[in-house]
Amino acid sequence: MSSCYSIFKTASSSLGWLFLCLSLIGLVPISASAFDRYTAHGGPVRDLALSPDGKHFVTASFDYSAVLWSADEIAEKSTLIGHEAALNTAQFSPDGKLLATGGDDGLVLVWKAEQLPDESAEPIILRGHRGKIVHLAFSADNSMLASASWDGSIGIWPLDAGPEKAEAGVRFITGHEGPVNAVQFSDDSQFLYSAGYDGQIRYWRLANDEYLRSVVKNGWGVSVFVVDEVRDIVAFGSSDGVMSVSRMSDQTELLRVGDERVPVLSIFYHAGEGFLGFGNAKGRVLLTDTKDWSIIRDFHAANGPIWSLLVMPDAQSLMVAGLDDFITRWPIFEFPPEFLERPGPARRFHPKQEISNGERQFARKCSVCHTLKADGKRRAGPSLFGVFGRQAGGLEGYPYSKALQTSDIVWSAATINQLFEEGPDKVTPGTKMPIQRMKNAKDREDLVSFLQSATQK
Amino acid sequence: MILTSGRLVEYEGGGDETRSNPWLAELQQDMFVEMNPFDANGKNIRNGDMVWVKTPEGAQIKVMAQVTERVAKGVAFLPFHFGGHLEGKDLRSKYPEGADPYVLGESANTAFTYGYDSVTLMQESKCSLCTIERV
Amino acid sequence: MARMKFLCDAERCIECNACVTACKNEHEVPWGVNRRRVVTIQDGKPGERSISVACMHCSDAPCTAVCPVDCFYQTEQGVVLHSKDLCIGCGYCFYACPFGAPQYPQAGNYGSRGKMDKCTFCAGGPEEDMSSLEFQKYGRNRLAEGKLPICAEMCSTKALLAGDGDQVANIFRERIVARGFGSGAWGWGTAYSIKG
Repeated sequence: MSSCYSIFKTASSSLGWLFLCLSLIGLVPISASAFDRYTAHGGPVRDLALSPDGKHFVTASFDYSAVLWSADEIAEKSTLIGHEAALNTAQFSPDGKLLATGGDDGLVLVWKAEQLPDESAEPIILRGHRGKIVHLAFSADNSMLASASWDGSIGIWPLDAGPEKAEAGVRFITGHEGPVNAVQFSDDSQFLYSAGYDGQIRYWRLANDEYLRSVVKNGWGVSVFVVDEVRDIVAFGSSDGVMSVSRMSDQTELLRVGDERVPVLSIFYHAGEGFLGFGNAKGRVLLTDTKDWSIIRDFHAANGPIWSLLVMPDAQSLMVAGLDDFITRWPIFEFPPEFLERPGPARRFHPKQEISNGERQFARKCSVCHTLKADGKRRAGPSLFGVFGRQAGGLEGYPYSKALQTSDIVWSAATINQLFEEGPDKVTPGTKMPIQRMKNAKDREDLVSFLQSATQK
Repeated sequence: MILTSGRLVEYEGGGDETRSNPWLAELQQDMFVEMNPFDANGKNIRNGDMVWVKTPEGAQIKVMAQVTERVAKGVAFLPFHFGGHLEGKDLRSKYPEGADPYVLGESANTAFTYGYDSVTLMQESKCSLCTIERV
Repeated sequence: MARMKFLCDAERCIECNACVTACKNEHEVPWGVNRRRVVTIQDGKPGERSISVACMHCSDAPCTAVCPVDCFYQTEQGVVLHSKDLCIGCGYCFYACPFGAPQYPQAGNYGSRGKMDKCTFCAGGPEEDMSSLEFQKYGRNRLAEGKLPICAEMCSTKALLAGDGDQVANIFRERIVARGFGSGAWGWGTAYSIKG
């Protein structure tokens, strides 16, 4: 089962390459496939960030890593390791010199863009938030970075003295009732917009962190938004499924799509190319033309939530990211008729065929973060190949937490059993593994015996 | 300003029993004074700010301000269920070990007027005077 | 089989928080986790309304759609439940829920939040019905005893209704006929727009 999956993965990215090459020769039109998939991650991809020069983009994933891609070839360039929990957001600075990422560990990591292709790049770690970071924004003059956090506050990190000094100079703006979901600076960098679970898009004066007013007061939580001060518009997506664009000054509604009561989770805006796109939790992508708010495309791009979307620099295709390990590229304008068949990825969580209880336990509870083979692709956790007899923290190449690096546990049938009887918070405290406990002794035994055969060298 | 006191849904009486109940205590965690936005604006008080409520008896209590239109202009409302703070000082350490309720706050009756009913000797708890200022 | 639904009648809710207290008590919900809460709008002004909000057990639940480990399931009665054994506390379901139902206790390994907790319609979880393990993890299972959720049972004004969707809708309809539409059934369209 897992081997089929890896063949599929290699095939899809090489097929993508094949089409690209053939299209350059003119043999196969580039829109021959309805969609192309690119796999680099081992878990949901939460965010896509395009560099200002359009040459690269970054994917931020649940598997604790971010990947740098080249935008024209859509090829992986390097992996960025540094976060100790799932990543939620990534953003380039307007001058393209910095990349910031935020994750469930409450950390903002700032990377120097020139070092990104080098996999040993060390990010600058900005501590301070007490909850997960779900959105980041740079000011237009590159002097500040704002972080939206589920601890209810907005972090303002000063960058004028360099990102190394940002943590010392940070301040936190509070006032939202509940989690803050998104932030954006005003064009002159004097004010800040922020959207939160309390349904408000708030407007703050940065000189004194004063809350001035709410630009939008929505009855339901606002998950994503974009403000274009030049055009005087605010676009937002809410948790009850509304995709809205209105004029900020007089609240005239320019676009409102709210027929599907499915939360909107992503937004993409490019003023220059004239695109505004929304993605919702059921895979629907709505792409509009910002000249007249007409709908360019309205279709289901994935079998699950669209966590992020962006229009590629060629303005011809759309990249979407969601619960799948792969990101999918769809052509915007040339749609072959067969595109509407929405393929279902083999969800390893609900194995259809008859498998042993041990294998089912692994598939349901462990496979989201662990693989079993030696060449297991990138996941949130280390590959379990050869785990029996291995010292905890012993797999080469996996970035273990300090607590596990110094652990003297040796994994065996007994210690693995104990890990899930008592839980990782008791057996391996201070590590990155989420608490997973299996109370049923038979399930634990079955899992251990399955692992013994599946991970054998 | 006219000061009055009254009940809350979550607590009962002096509050020691109900403020020791985790479910109820979580619902009402701060002692507060309700004041009208007109009065609050005039004194530069925002919702959530800590304020001193001072009365002609010389009493002063430090409570959180709730700016709301529930009370009319010139009127302030205090709930009377709290105890454990005295003139801004937290007296949690004075409680016997394990007996302190989850939530402590200023006691409203300490700020009220000396008046009492001449027949029943019941204290005047509904009609008093105060000034409120930011901490 | 009955399709369970909640309905909070905003015209009747007096913000007494009896539903909140009953839920907390019945399931021994820890401090900071709010399975049910009362939201008041226009507080202190004419047109003040209160609504008791918890998981609505949506027909096509967005929480189920976004979970990376697929830990949600829906019972035959339409109750949306989840498995705390599979949950990794990632928070995606909170992002997706229009009602803010998923709650996360502070405890967790290395700063991650603990397992998601939410209103279960007093129907427990995947553990054996009415076992002590089920109580520890998910709270009381009243549906297995043939009872209705305690929040609705405790409601002092019968603003909060819970039970068979058809019967709840009928009761609400009678009220509308008697007194007028008022605030309507807030959240009903968002939760149950799809038949079932």
